Amino acid sequence: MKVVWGQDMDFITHGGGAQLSDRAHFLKGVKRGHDLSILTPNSDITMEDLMRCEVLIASNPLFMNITSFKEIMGHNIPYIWFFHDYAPLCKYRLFYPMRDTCKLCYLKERWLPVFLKSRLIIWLSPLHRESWLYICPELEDIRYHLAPSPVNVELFSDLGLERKGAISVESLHPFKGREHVIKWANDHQEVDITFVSGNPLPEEPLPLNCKVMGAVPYRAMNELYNKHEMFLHLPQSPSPFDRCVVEAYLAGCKVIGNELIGALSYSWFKSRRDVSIECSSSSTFFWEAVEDAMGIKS
Amino acid sequence: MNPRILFNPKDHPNLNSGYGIIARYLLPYLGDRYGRENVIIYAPIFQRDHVGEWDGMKVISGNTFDFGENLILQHYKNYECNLLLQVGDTWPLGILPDLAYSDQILWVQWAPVDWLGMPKNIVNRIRAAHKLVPFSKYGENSLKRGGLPNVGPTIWLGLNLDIWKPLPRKDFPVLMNSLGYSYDSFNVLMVAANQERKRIRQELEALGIFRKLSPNVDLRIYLHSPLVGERDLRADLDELELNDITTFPDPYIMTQGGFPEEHMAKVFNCADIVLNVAMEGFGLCQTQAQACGVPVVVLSEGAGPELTVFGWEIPATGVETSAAQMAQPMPDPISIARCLEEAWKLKQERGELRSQAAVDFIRGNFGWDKIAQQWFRVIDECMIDYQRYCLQIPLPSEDLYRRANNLLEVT
Repeated sequence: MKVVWGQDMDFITHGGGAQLSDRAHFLKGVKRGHDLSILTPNSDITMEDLMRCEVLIASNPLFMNITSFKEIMGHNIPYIWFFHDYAPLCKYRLFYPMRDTCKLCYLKERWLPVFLKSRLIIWLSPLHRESWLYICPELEDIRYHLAPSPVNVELFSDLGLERKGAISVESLHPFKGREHVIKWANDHQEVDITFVSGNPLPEEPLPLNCKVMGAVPYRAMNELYNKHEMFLHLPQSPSPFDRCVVEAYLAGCKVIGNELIGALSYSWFKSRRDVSIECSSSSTFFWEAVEDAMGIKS
Repeated sequence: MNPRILFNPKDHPNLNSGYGIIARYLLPYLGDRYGRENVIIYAPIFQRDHVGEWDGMKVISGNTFDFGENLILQHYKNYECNLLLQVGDTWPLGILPDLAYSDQILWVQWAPVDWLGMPKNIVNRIRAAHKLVPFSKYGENSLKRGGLPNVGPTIWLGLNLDIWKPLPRKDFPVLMNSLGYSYDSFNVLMVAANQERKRIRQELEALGIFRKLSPNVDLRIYLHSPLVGERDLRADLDELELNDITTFPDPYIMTQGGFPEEHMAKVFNCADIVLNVAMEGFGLCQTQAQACGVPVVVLSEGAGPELTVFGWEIPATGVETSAAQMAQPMPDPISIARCLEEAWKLKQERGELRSQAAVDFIRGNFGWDKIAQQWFRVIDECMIDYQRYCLQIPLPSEDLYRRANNLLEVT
């Protein structure tokens, strides 16, 4: 199948969470024999090229505005939305407040007709879909697939190291639940907590049992998780998936989370074995869902 | 959601200018509806060092003699406003459009459109406003023709109908005398802060022609404008041989905030006809005159025709383009002179030039209570938009807060 994969950044050379997932899915698609090309703001793919593709996978391409999509719809180019967060429905993307007023959002008015024509919508978790349907119940009947973030499970395992305290990653941002992790730290003063990726509000004092360290290379995270007993993550708004929860869990940490973590909304997030199976086969299931939606026999 | 309004008219509500009067009458209605603590008055011209309160609403200062754009963002943030309501011309704005384009302010503009066509430089600026509320239907049509998607319903400027009403001129002999008018003369009134835009020169030329064509008419002119402003009017009058029949206001009072409306309503009632043959975004003197039943001579372009029940329309014969690419039509003095002839004949036939239909039109449409109701609708809609457009990062819903506190442990 001739596929154009639209994304804001070239995921082959950029390394954020969404890019890791896109890269894994993309490479799996190539292995399955599909003819894939990448559409980014810098690529030279034209509308004529798009018209020759069999499906466009819109993987959170913020650079593609409503006008682009109207043109795509006008040319009857089939497309599949692969949402990584709440864009383009919510302008704050990751800080989706899920309020009643969100149902009035002008972006819903603008984008819903585009979503309704999607051959398939891919969300990252049951929570992710539920949160979208809160604003857009009209999408309830659209064919969908839930694709957990594909994690390289070989990189994360229990190394048998001595463990102590809790670790938390990027959770000192207000929108990622700063208030909640600090409250937890105050309620559990016997637990030492290491916050990875810095403190964006250094002028606000942290409880004495909190320690802040800077960013850690991805390849060093398994060992760091292995030095901690618990992984603490208490987001403030519904996170679509949160691959670090899976990685820390596979690295042997007990997860202290809340109801706003996409990964924990999967019914299979109960054993490391199941988590490992589901996340390592995510790309295979991703393409099976895409092929099925496009009427191609796997 | 309640608005917290940064109200930015060009002038302070104490000032007797058009913008000052607008502020004076609309603000109390806004304060009553939304709470006086939620209306902040920022009127930089003539109040550079003034801070305090006006009718229970906070007044904050500017430090420039323009719209005070330089402080708008800071004021908007400091006073935690969620709506900027600016009253005034759009063409000089330079900072505001960028603030609005970047969602830092929700900008609503109540604005005159007093030019022909729609210059690109103006379109690009005002496109950033969340809503453009024109002073006139003429303005609304022009903006829409210019392709602007954010044009709100026209809201005309109001009048204090307790002040602006027919008054018997026989009660004001001293005032009549001070204006240079007599009860038997043909009394012409012109009101102009901006002498060029108001086409005072063309109107004076018309009066000169009329005087020459009708030498038996006892013509009197009261020109409510500074003697020397954009033009040296004394020189114009000398050239046109009108000096002997023209009276000006007391220049000292003009420096002290101008004449109060009560005085001006009497002045209008003393006149037989008001000349305002200029391209107007609105033209308050047109409604003020008709509120007193007095006819007006207006230009056929701009807001004049839609506001005129009793008067004459003058076609434009040329166009002048300003430095800001604004094209403004020029009236034809001969046509104005012909209207004056007709008006004089009518006065002779009727005894006085007054129209009850004009009074009824003004009383039915221009009361500030009616204008305020129209504004409430616009502001309330903006507050809905404020939520729809999510102009500030909202707090998470209570349900999210509850779920964030429901801890899960996976071992």
